[in-house]
Amino acid sequence: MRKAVKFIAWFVTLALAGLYFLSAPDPLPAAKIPAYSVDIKNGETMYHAGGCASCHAAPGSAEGATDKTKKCDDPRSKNKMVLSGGRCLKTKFGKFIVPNISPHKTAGIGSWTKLEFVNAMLRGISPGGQHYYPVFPYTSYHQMAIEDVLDLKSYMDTLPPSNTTNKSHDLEFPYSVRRFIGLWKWLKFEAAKPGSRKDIGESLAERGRYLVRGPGHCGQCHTPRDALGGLLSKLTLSGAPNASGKGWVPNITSHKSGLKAWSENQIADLLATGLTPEFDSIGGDMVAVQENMKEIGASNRAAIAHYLKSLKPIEGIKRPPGKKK
Amino acid sequence: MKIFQFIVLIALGLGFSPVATDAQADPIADRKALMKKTVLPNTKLTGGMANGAIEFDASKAEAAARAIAGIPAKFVKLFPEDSAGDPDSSAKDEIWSDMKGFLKAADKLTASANAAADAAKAGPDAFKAAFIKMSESCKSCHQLYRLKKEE
Repeated sequence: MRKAVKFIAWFVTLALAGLYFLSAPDPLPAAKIPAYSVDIKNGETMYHAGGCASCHAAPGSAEGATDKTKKCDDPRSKNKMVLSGGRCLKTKFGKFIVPNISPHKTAGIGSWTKLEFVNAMLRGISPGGQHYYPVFPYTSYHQMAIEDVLDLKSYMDTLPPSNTTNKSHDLEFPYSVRRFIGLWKWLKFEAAKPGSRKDIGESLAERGRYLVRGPGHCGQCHTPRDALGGLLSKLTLSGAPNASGKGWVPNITSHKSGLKAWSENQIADLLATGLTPEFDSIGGDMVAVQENMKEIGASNRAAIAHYLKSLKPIEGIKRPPGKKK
Repeated sequence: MKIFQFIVLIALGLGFSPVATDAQADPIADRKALMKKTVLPNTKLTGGMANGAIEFDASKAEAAARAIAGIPAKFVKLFPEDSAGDPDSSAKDEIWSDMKGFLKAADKLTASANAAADAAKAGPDAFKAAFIKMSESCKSCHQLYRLKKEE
Protein backbone atom coordinates (compact mmCIF):
# COMPACT_ATOMS: atom_id res chain seq x y z
CA MET A 1 0.00 0.00 0.00
CA ARG A 2 2.71 2.49 0.90
CA LYS A 3 4.57 1.44 -2.20
CA ALA A 4 1.55 2.25 -4.31
CA VAL A 5 1.22 5.69 -2.73
CA LYS A 6 4.88 6.34 -3.32
CA PHE A 7 4.54 5.24 -6.92
CA ILE A 8 1.58 7.50 -7.54
CA ALA A 9 3.40 10.42 -5.91
CA TRP A 10 6.39 9.85 -8.16
CA PHE A 11 4.20 9.49 -11.19
CA VAL A 12 2.30 12.72 -10.47
CA THR A 13 5.55 14.61 -9.83
CA LEU A 14 7.06 13.38 -13.07
CA ALA A 15 3.89 14.17 -15.00
CA LEU A 16 3.81 17.71 -13.57
CA ALA A 17 7.49 18.17 -14.36
CA GLY A 18 6.81 16.94 -17.88
CA LEU A 19 3.89 19.32 -18.32
CA TYR A 20 5.97 22.17 -16.93
CA PHE A 21 8.68 21.38 -19.41
CA LEU A 22 6.24 21.05 -22.32
CA SER A 23 4.55 24.34 -21.49
CA ALA A 24 7.80 26.33 -21.46
CA PRO A 25 8.08 29.15 -24.02
CA ASP A 26 10.40 28.48 -26.92
CA PRO A 27 11.59 31.85 -28.24
CA LEU A 28 13.76 32.42 -31.26
CA PRO A 29 17.39 33.31 -30.49
CA ALA A 30 18.85 36.67 -31.49
CA ALA A 31 20.91 34.97 -34.19
CA LYS A 32 17.71 34.47 -36.22
CA ILE A 33 17.34 38.21 -36.81
CA PRO A 34 19.06 38.92 -40.11
CA ALA A 35 21.05 42.04 -40.88
CA TYR A 36 18.50 43.86 -42.96
CA SER A 37 17.68 47.45 -43.79
CA VAL A 38 13.98 48.00 -43.25
CA ASP A 39 11.41 49.20 -45.78
CA ILE A 40 8.85 51.35 -43.96
CA LYS A 41 6.52 51.48 -46.97
CA ASN A 42 6.29 47.69 -47.03
CA GLY A 43 5.78 47.85 -43.27
CA GLU A 44 2.72 50.00 -43.89
CA THR A 45 1.32 47.42 -46.32
CA MET A 46 1.93 44.70 -43.73
CA TYR A 47 0.21 46.85 -41.11
CA HIS A 48 -2.95 46.95 -43.20
CA ALA A 49 -2.69 43.35 -44.42
CA GLY A 50 -2.25 42.24 -40.81
CA GLY A 51 -5.28 44.21 -39.66
CA CYS A 52 -3.46 45.47 -36.55
CA ALA A 53 -5.79 48.45 -36.13
CA SER A 54 -8.98 46.38 -36.26
CA CYS A 55 -8.23 45.05 -32.80
CA HIS A 56 -5.64 47.42 -31.32
CA ALA A 57 -7.15 50.82 -32.19
CA ALA A 58 -9.53 52.12 -29.53
CA PRO A 59 -13.14 51.06 -30.18
CA GLY A 60 -15.65 53.71 -31.13
CA SER A 61 -16.36 56.02 -33.97
CA ALA A 62 -14.26 58.74 -35.50
CA GLU A 63 -17.53 60.61 -36.03
CA GLY A 64 -18.36 60.72 -32.35
CA ALA A 65 -21.25 60.12 -30.09
CA THR A 66 -23.97 57.54 -30.27
CA ASP A 67 -24.72 55.18 -27.41
CA LYS A 68 -22.83 52.52 -29.28
CA THR A 69 -19.53 54.37 -29.08
CA LYS A 70 -19.34 53.78 -25.36
CA LYS A 71 -19.10 50.03 -25.85
CA CYS A 72 -15.77 48.26 -25.76
CA ASP A 73 -16.84 45.90 -28.58
CA ASP A 74 -17.85 48.58 -31.08
CA PRO A 75 -16.55 47.14 -34.38
CA ARG A 76 -15.44 50.57 -35.54
CA SER A 77 -12.18 52.29 -34.61
CA LYS A 78 -11.69 55.79 -33.31
CA ASN A 79 -8.38 56.31 -35.09
CA LYS A 80 -6.72 53.50 -37.00
CA MET A 81 -3.27 54.96 -36.51
CA VAL A 82 -3.38 55.09 -32.69
CA LEU A 83 -3.02 51.60 -31.28
CA SER A 84 -3.97 52.43 -27.71
CA GLY A 85 -5.88 49.18 -27.12
CA GLY A 86 -8.95 48.85 -24.91
CA ARG A 87 -11.18 46.91 -27.28
CA CYS A 88 -12.80 43.86 -25.69
CA LEU A 89 -13.24 40.54 -27.43
CA LYS A 90 -15.96 38.46 -25.85
CA THR A 91 -15.37 34.76 -26.43
CA LYS A 92 -16.49 31.54 -24.78
CA PHE A 93 -13.21 31.53 -22.83
CA GLY A 94 -13.92 34.93 -21.31
CA LYS A 95 -13.35 38.56 -22.14
CA PHE A 96 -10.03 39.61 -23.62
CA ILE A 97 -8.97 43.25 -23.42
CA VAL A 98 -6.69 44.19 -26.30
CA PRO A 99 -3.41 45.84 -25.16
CA ASN A 100 -1.72 49.08 -26.18
CA ILE A 101 0.84 48.40 -28.94
CA SER A 102 1.52 52.01 -29.83
CA PRO A 103 5.20 53.02 -29.74
CA HIS A 104 4.83 54.61 -26.27
CA LYS A 105 7.91 53.65 -24.24
CA THR A 106 6.10 52.44 -21.13
CA ALA A 107 2.38 52.10 -21.91
CA GLY A 108 2.98 50.59 -25.35
CA ILE A 109 5.71 48.58 -27.05
CA GLY A 110 8.07 51.42 -27.94
CA SER A 111 10.92 49.99 -25.91
CA TRP A 112 10.81 46.53 -27.50
CA THR A 113 13.79 45.22 -29.39
CA LYS A 114 13.47 43.71 -32.86
CA LEU A 115 13.94 40.26 -31.35
CA GLU A 116 11.16 40.83 -28.82
CA PHE A 117 8.80 42.00 -31.55
CA VAL A 118 9.66 39.03 -33.77
CA ASN A 119 9.09 36.59 -30.91
CA ALA A 120 5.69 38.13 -30.22
CA MET A 121 4.63 37.87 -33.86
CA LEU A 122 6.13 34.51 -34.82
CA ARG A 123 6.10 32.61 -31.51
CA GLY A 124 3.41 34.27 -29.42
CA ILE A 125 5.84 35.04 -26.61
CA SER A 126 6.08 38.33 -24.70
CA PRO A 127 9.36 40.10 -23.88
CA GLY A 128 8.90 38.85 -20.29
CA GLY A 129 8.84 35.27 -21.58
CA GLN A 130 5.11 34.67 -21.14
CA HIS A 131 2.78 33.06 -23.65
CA TYR A 132 0.25 35.19 -25.46
CA TYR A 133 -3.29 33.95 -25.80
CA PRO A 134 -3.89 32.81 -29.38
CA VAL A 135 -6.64 35.42 -29.65
CA PHE A 136 -3.64 37.40 -30.85
CA PRO A 137 -3.35 35.65 -34.23
CA TYR A 138 0.27 34.54 -34.08
CA THR A 139 -1.01 31.15 -35.20
CA SER A 140 -1.23 32.90 -38.61
CA TYR A 141 1.49 35.52 -38.25
CA HIS A 142 4.09 32.82 -37.58
CA GLN A 143 4.02 32.15 -41.34
CA MET A 144 5.20 35.67 -42.10
CA ALA A 145 8.61 36.38 -43.55
CA ILE A 146 10.94 37.76 -40.93
CA GLU A 147 11.75 40.80 -43.14
CA ASP A 148 8.06 41.68 -43.32
CA VAL A 149 7.84 41.51 -39.52
CA LEU A 150 10.84 43.83 -39.19
CA ASP A 151 9.33 46.22 -41.75
CA LEU A 152 6.09 46.17 -39.80
CA LYS A 153 7.89 47.15 -36.61
CA SER A 154 9.68 49.98 -38.40
CA TYR A 155 6.32 51.34 -39.61
CA MET A 156 4.61 50.93 -36.23
CA ASP A 157 7.48 52.87 -34.63
CA THR A 158 6.40 55.89 -36.71
CA LEU A 159 2.79 55.89 -35.39
CA PRO A 160 1.59 58.21 -32.60
CA PRO A 161 2.29 56.93 -29.05
CA SER A 162 -0.62 56.55 -26.64
CA ASN A 163 -0.28 56.50 -22.85
CA THR A 164 -3.42 54.40 -22.28
CA THR A 165 -2.77 51.79 -19.56
CA ASN A 166 -3.49 48.14 -20.32
CA LYS A 167 -6.31 46.34 -18.55
CA SER A 168 -6.28 42.68 -17.51
CA HIS A 169 -8.26 40.06 -19.36
CA ASP A 170 -11.30 38.70 -17.60
CA LEU A 171 -11.07 34.93 -18.08
CA GLU A 172 -12.42 31.85 -16.36
CA PHE A 173 -10.11 29.27 -14.80
CA PRO A 174 -8.25 27.37 -16.33
CA TYR A 175 -7.97 29.83 -19.23
CA SER A 176 -6.74 32.45 -16.79
CA VAL A 177 -3.43 30.59 -16.30
CA ARG A 178 -1.02 31.71 -19.01
CA ARG A 179 1.35 28.83 -18.50
CA PHE A 180 -1.38 26.48 -19.74
CA ILE A 181 -1.16 28.21 -23.12
CA GLY A 182 2.18 26.43 -23.43
CA LEU A 183 0.34 23.11 -23.36
CA TRP A 184 -2.18 24.45 -25.83
CA LYS A 185 0.66 25.42 -28.14
CA TRP A 186 2.16 21.96 -27.74
CA LEU A 187 -1.16 20.42 -28.81
CA LYS A 188 -2.41 22.90 -31.39
CA PHE A 189 0.39 25.06 -32.71
CA GLU A 190 3.50 24.17 -34.58
CA ALA A 191 5.51 27.33 -35.11
CA ALA A 192 6.83 27.58 -38.65
CA LYS A 193 10.56 27.81 -39.14
CA PRO A 194 11.27 31.50 -39.43
CA GLY A 195 10.92 32.10 -43.14
CA SER A 196 12.61 34.65 -45.32
CA ARG A 197 10.88 36.57 -48.10
CA LYS A 198 12.81 34.64 -50.69
CA ASP A 199 11.22 31.38 -49.43
CA ILE A 200 7.73 32.53 -50.29
CA GLY A 201 7.86 32.76 -54.05
CA GLU A 202 6.71 35.50 -56.36
CA SER A 203 3.87 34.02 -58.38
CA LEU A 204 0.39 35.43 -57.90
CA ALA A 205 -0.75 32.21 -56.22
CA GLU A 206 2.20 32.15 -53.82
CA ARG A 207 1.77 35.79 -52.93
CA GLY A 208 -1.95 35.24 -52.36
CA ARG A 209 -1.37 32.17 -50.25
CA TYR A 210 1.11 34.09 -48.14
CA LEU A 211 -1.22 37.05 -47.61
CA VAL A 212 -4.22 34.87 -46.77
CA ARG A 213 -2.46 32.46 -44.43
CA GLY A 214 0.16 34.75 -42.93
CA PRO A 215 -0.45 38.44 -42.33
CA GLY A 216 -4.08 38.47 -43.51
CA HIS A 217 -5.00 35.71 -40.99
CA CYS A 218 -8.27 35.05 -42.87
CA GLY A 219 -8.60 31.60 -41.29
CA GLN A 220 -8.88 33.03 -37.79
CA CYS A 221 -12.52 33.80 -38.60
CA HIS A 222 -13.28 31.77 -41.75
CA THR A 223 -11.91 28.43 -40.48
CA PRO A 224 -13.88 26.54 -37.80
CA ARG A 225 -12.26 25.54 -34.51
CA ASP A 226 -12.30 22.48 -32.29
CA ALA A 227 -13.41 22.51 -28.65
CA LEU A 228 -10.01 23.78 -27.53
CA GLY A 229 -10.02 26.63 -30.01
CA GLY A 230 -7.57 24.97 -32.40
CA LEU A 231 -8.17 25.62 -36.09
CA LEU A 232 -9.54 22.61 -37.98
CA SER A 233 -7.05 22.57 -40.83
CA LYS A 234 -9.05 20.16 -42.99
CA LEU A 235 -11.85 22.70 -43.06
CA THR A 236 -9.62 25.67 -43.79
CA LEU A 237 -11.61 28.73 -44.91
CA SER A 238 -14.84 26.76 -45.31
CA GLY A 239 -16.85 29.01 -42.97
CA ALA A 240 -17.40 28.97 -39.22
CA PRO A 241 -19.66 30.22 -36.49
CA ASN A 242 -18.71 33.72 -35.39
CA ALA A 243 -16.38 33.23 -32.39
CA SER A 244 -17.23 36.57 -30.81
CA GLY A 245 -20.99 36.62 -31.11
CA LYS A 246 -23.92 35.40 -33.13
CA GLY A 247 -23.97 34.69 -36.82
CA TRP A 248 -21.89 32.83 -39.35
CA VAL A 249 -18.67 33.66 -41.15
CA PRO A 250 -18.99 32.54 -44.79
CA ASN A 251 -17.22 29.84 -46.73
CA ILE A 252 -14.54 31.40 -48.94
CA THR A 253 -13.32 28.25 -50.68
CA SER A 254 -14.52 27.60 -54.24
CA HIS A 255 -17.43 25.50 -52.95
CA LYS A 256 -20.90 26.37 -54.21
CA SER A 257 -21.80 27.74 -50.78
CA GLY A 258 -18.63 29.82 -51.04
CA LEU A 259 -16.97 31.65 -53.90
CA LYS A 260 -17.76 29.23 -56.74
CA ALA A 261 -19.86 31.75 -58.66
CA TRP A 262 -17.42 34.60 -58.05
CA SER A 263 -14.74 35.74 -60.50
CA GLU A 264 -11.30 36.78 -59.28
CA ASN A 265 -12.14 40.36 -60.21
CA GLN A 266 -15.31 40.27 -58.17
CA ILE A 267 -13.42 39.06 -55.09
CA ALA A 268 -10.75 41.72 -55.56
CA ASP A 269 -13.50 44.34 -56.01
CA LEU A 270 -15.16 43.29 -52.78
CA LEU A 271 -11.87 43.76 -50.95
CA ALA A 272 -11.48 47.20 -52.57
CA THR A 273 -15.03 48.51 -52.20
CA GLY A 274 -16.93 46.38 -49.69
CA LEU A 275 -19.57 45.59 -52.30
CA THR A 276 -20.62 42.18 -53.60
CA PRO A 277 -21.18 41.61 -57.33
CA GLU A 278 -24.86 42.29 -56.61
CA PHE A 279 -23.92 45.60 -55.00
CA ASP A 280 -25.02 44.39 -51.61
CA SER A 281 -22.61 45.70 -48.99
CA ILE A 282 -20.60 43.58 -46.60
CA GLY A 283 -21.30 43.91 -42.90
CA GLY A 284 -20.09 43.00 -39.43
CA ASP A 285 -16.40 42.43 -38.73
CA MET A 286 -15.62 42.11 -42.45
CA VAL A 287 -16.06 45.87 -42.79
CA ALA A 288 -12.94 46.55 -40.71
CA VAL A 289 -11.06 43.86 -42.66
CA GLN A 290 -12.10 45.36 -46.00
CA GLU A 291 -11.09 48.85 -44.91
CA ASN A 292 -7.60 47.46 -44.32
CA MET A 293 -7.55 45.51 -47.58
CA LYS A 294 -8.44 48.70 -49.42
CA GLU A 295 -4.98 49.96 -48.42
CA ILE A 296 -2.78 47.05 -49.57
CA GLY A 297 -2.73 47.80 -53.29
CA ALA A 298 -4.52 46.25 -56.28
CA SER A 299 -1.82 43.64 -56.97
CA ASN A 300 -2.07 42.23 -53.45
CA ARG A 301 -5.86 42.11 -53.63
CA ALA A 302 -5.63 40.34 -56.99
CA ALA A 303 -3.23 37.82 -55.44
CA ILE A 304 -5.65 37.08 -52.60
CA ALA A 305 -8.53 36.66 -55.06
CA HIS A 306 -6.44 34.38 -57.24
CA TYR A 307 -5.43 32.19 -54.30
CA LEU A 308 -8.95 31.90 -52.93
CA LYS A 309 -10.27 30.81 -56.32
CA SER A 310 -7.53 28.18 -56.48
CA LEU A 311 -8.68 26.53 -53.25
CA LYS A 312 -10.36 23.14 -53.43
CA PRO A 313 -14.08 23.37 -52.72
CA ILE A 314 -14.78 22.35 -49.11
CA GLU A 315 -18.35 21.98 -47.98
CA GLY A 316 -17.69 23.08 -44.40
CA ILE A 317 -19.69 22.37 -41.28
CA LYS A 318 -23.44 22.75 -41.39
CA ARG A 319 -24.98 25.97 -40.24
CA PRO A 320 -27.65 25.68 -37.61
CA PRO A 321 -31.00 25.82 -39.44
CA GLY A 322 -32.79 29.15 -39.52
CA LYS A 323 -36.53 29.42 -39.01
CA LYS A 324 -38.37 28.24 -42.12
CA LYS A 325 -41.25 30.29 -43.33
CA MET B 1 -75.55 28.54 -24.61
CA LYS B 2 -75.51 32.30 -24.14
CA ILE B 3 -72.04 32.06 -22.64
CA PHE B 4 -70.82 30.06 -25.62
CA GLN B 5 -72.09 32.68 -28.05
CA PHE B 6 -70.51 35.38 -25.94
CA ILE B 7 -67.14 33.68 -26.10
CA VAL B 8 -67.41 33.25 -29.86
CA LEU B 9 -68.24 36.91 -30.25
CA ILE B 10 -65.28 37.94 -28.10
CA ALA B 11 -63.00 35.67 -30.09
CA LEU B 12 -64.24 37.13 -33.37
CA GLY B 13 -63.85 40.60 -31.94
CA LEU B 14 -60.23 39.92 -31.02
CA GLY B 15 -59.55 38.39 -34.38
CA PHE B 16 -60.75 41.46 -36.19
CA SER B 17 -59.35 43.98 -33.74
CA PRO B 18 -57.14 46.68 -35.28
CA VAL B 19 -54.13 45.45 -33.27
CA ALA B 20 -53.98 42.18 -35.15
CA THR B 21 -54.80 43.41 -38.62
CA ASP B 22 -52.84 46.65 -38.62
CA ALA B 23 -50.10 47.33 -41.14
CA GLN B 24 -47.39 45.57 -39.14
CA ALA B 25 -48.69 42.05 -39.39
CA ASP B 26 -45.23 40.88 -40.35
CA PRO B 27 -42.69 43.67 -40.03
CA ILE B 28 -39.81 41.26 -40.67
CA ALA B 29 -41.19 40.26 -44.07
CA ASP B 30 -42.01 43.89 -44.84
CA ARG B 31 -38.54 45.20 -44.06
CA LYS B 32 -36.91 42.37 -46.02
CA ALA B 33 -39.13 43.22 -48.98
CA LEU B 34 -38.08 46.87 -48.86
CA MET B 35 -34.44 45.84 -49.03
CA LYS B 36 -34.83 43.14 -51.66
CA LYS B 37 -37.43 44.74 -53.90
CA THR B 38 -36.46 48.40 -53.80
CA VAL B 39 -32.98 48.92 -52.41
CA LEU B 40 -31.17 46.01 -54.04
CA PRO B 41 -32.39 46.43 -57.66
CA ASN B 42 -31.80 50.16 -57.52
CA THR B 43 -28.34 49.71 -56.01
CA LYS B 44 -27.58 47.26 -58.80
CA LEU B 45 -28.64 49.80 -61.39
CA THR B 46 -26.80 52.73 -59.83
CA GLY B 47 -23.75 50.59 -59.03
CA GLY B 48 -23.65 49.25 -62.59
CA MET B 49 -23.74 52.80 -63.93
CA ALA B 50 -21.08 53.91 -61.45
CA ASN B 51 -18.62 51.23 -62.51
CA GLY B 52 -19.44 51.42 -66.20
CA ALA B 53 -21.11 48.01 -66.59
CA ILE B 54 -24.39 49.73 -67.44
CA GLU B 55 -24.54 52.76 -69.72
CA PHE B 56 -24.96 55.95 -67.72
CA ASP B 57 -28.39 57.57 -68.05
CA ALA B 58 -28.81 60.65 -65.89
CA SER B 59 -32.57 60.46 -65.46
CA LYS B 60 -32.58 56.73 -64.69
CA ALA B 61 -29.70 57.14 -62.26
CA GLU B 62 -31.47 59.99 -60.52
CA ALA B 63 -34.75 58.08 -60.26
CA ALA B 64 -33.02 54.99 -58.85
CA ALA B 65 -31.08 56.96 -56.25
CA ARG B 66 -34.24 58.85 -55.30
CA ALA B 67 -36.05 55.54 -54.84
CA ILE B 68 -33.34 54.40 -52.42
CA ALA B 69 -33.56 57.72 -50.57
CA GLY B 70 -37.25 57.10 -49.96
CA ILE B 71 -36.69 53.79 -48.15
CA PRO B 72 -35.00 54.56 -44.79
CA ALA B 73 -37.94 56.53 -43.38
CA LYS B 74 -40.26 53.56 -44.01
CA PHE B 75 -37.65 50.96 -43.11
CA VAL B 76 -36.88 52.19 -39.59
CA LYS B 77 -40.56 51.97 -38.64
CA LEU B 78 -40.52 48.20 -39.19
CA PHE B 79 -38.53 47.35 -36.07
CA PRO B 80 -41.07 47.08 -33.25
CA GLU B 81 -39.65 45.76 -29.94
CA ASP B 82 -41.38 42.41 -30.33
CA SER B 83 -39.61 41.70 -33.62
CA ALA B 84 -36.18 41.57 -31.94
CA GLY B 85 -34.25 38.32 -31.74
CA ASP B 86 -36.02 36.52 -34.58
CA PRO B 87 -33.81 33.63 -35.75
CA ASP B 88 -34.75 34.24 -39.37
CA SER B 89 -33.83 37.90 -39.35
CA SER B 90 -30.45 39.50 -39.97
CA ALA B 91 -31.26 42.38 -37.64
CA LYS B 92 -28.76 42.64 -34.79
CA ASP B 93 -29.89 43.28 -31.23
CA GLU B 94 -27.98 46.57 -31.43
CA ILE B 95 -30.86 48.01 -33.46
CA TRP B 96 -32.97 47.97 -30.32
CA SER B 97 -30.23 48.68 -27.80
CA ASP B 98 -28.96 51.59 -29.89
CA MET B 99 -32.04 52.85 -31.73
CA LYS B 100 -30.59 56.37 -31.78
CA GLY B 101 -27.52 55.23 -33.68
CA PHE B 102 -29.65 53.12 -36.03
CA LEU B 103 -31.85 56.10 -36.89
CA LYS B 104 -28.77 58.20 -37.47
CA ALA B 105 -27.38 55.56 -39.85
CA ALA B 106 -30.72 55.56 -41.71
CA ASP B 107 -30.58 59.35 -42.07
CA LYS B 108 -27.10 58.99 -43.50
CA LEU B 109 -28.44 56.76 -46.26
CA THR B 110 -31.31 59.16 -47.04
CA ALA B 111 -28.89 62.06 -47.32
CA SER B 112 -26.25 60.22 -49.35
CA ALA B 113 -28.83 58.71 -51.73
CA ASN B 114 -30.39 62.13 -52.31
CA ALA B 115 -26.91 63.51 -52.92
CA ALA B 116 -26.32 60.77 -55.50
CA ALA B 117 -29.61 61.64 -57.21
CA ASP B 118 -28.56 65.30 -57.37
CA ALA B 119 -25.12 64.34 -58.65
CA ALA B 120 -26.62 62.40 -61.57
CA LYS B 121 -27.32 65.71 -63.35
CA ALA B 122 -23.64 66.62 -63.13
CA GLY B 123 -22.56 63.59 -65.14
CA PRO B 124 -21.16 60.09 -64.65
CA ASP B 125 -18.00 61.05 -62.74
CA ALA B 126 -19.85 63.07 -60.14
CA PHE B 127 -22.40 60.31 -59.91
CA LYS B 128 -19.75 57.66 -59.37
CA ALA B 129 -18.21 59.61 -56.49
CA ALA B 130 -21.63 60.08 -54.93
CA PHE B 131 -22.46 56.40 -55.40
CA ILE B 132 -19.32 55.42 -53.49
CA LYS B 133 -20.36 57.70 -50.64
CA MET B 134 -23.81 56.15 -50.63
CA SER B 135 -22.38 52.63 -50.55
CA GLU B 136 -20.23 53.65 -47.56
CA SER B 137 -23.43 54.47 -45.69
CA CYS B 138 -24.81 51.00 -46.55
CA LYS B 139 -21.63 49.46 -45.20
CA SER B 140 -21.35 51.46 -42.00
CA CYS B 141 -24.91 50.55 -41.06
CA HIS B 142 -24.44 46.88 -41.92
CA GLN B 143 -21.25 46.85 -39.86
CA LEU B 144 -23.16 47.70 -36.71
CA TYR B 145 -26.70 46.50 -37.22
CA ARG B 146 -26.82 43.57 -39.64
CA LEU B 147 -25.79 40.01 -38.97
CA LYS B 148 -26.08 37.93 -42.08
CA LYS B 149 -27.54 34.50 -41.53
CA GLU B 150 -28.19 33.33 -45.05
CA GLU B 151 -26.42 33.46 -48.37
